[in-house]
Amino acid sequence: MSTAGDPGSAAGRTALAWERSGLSLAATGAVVARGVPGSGVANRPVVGTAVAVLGLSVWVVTALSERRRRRATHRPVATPGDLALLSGASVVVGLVLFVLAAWPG
Amino acid sequence: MVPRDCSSRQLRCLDIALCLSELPPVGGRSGPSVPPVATTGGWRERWSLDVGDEPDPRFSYANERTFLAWCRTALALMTAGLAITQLLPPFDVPGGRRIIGLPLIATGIVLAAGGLVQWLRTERAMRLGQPLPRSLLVPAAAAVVAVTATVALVLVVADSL
Repeated sequence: MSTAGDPGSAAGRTALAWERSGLSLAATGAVVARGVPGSGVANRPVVGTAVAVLGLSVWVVTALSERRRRRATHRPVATPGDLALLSGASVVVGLVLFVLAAWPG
Repeated sequence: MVPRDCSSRQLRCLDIALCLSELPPVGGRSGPSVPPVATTGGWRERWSLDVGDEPDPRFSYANERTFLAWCRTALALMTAGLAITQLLPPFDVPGGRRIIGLPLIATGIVLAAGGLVQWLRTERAMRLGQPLPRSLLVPAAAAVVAVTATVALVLVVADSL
């Protein structure tokens, strides 16, 4: 089966999905970093900034990785490492959010 | 129809048996008479992607997008959980916001990790030509959201009484 010319725009749609996912992680970090006035989140600027930086870093790394894979001719799909990075970062962010939500202020 | 079913089932079993027998035993290549050691190296063999044949890239891409969708779902649940505990005015029931929010964040953590596991299982199954593994993520996510929504409804109704 020929895969030339990206049939079904599979690669393109996957690239966009990576973009959305990376941005979601960065946005989640931004929510924590910016905090909400009058809430416990605002009292944790260091934690929030760390989460935002983590989210932005993952977004940049996955975007670069995606660009590299798009140029590759053989096996351009993601490696387990690419997925593990996003998954692991999401888990870490989730743990931070859990602590913030359980023990605010 | 029945004989064909039987033969296809036999074929599938044979495929699995062949794939299993092709797994390299620990310590390098050996003859097929040496059974693979299950106690050591089993983890690596069970999760390795160096098995079978590469599937159509479109299937891999679709599998990848499914993982990404799980990740975004997880992040949405986490953000929603944090927003509930931090933004909502308190319920009459003490700790009501955390009762709703914390399970959502915990579910997000499970989904972010579970999506990766499910991606790996699906990728392996596609490479080995096996039926796709059933996912527990879908019923788990649905159950948690349904239960949380029910609890939220109870809290809101209790507040308005």
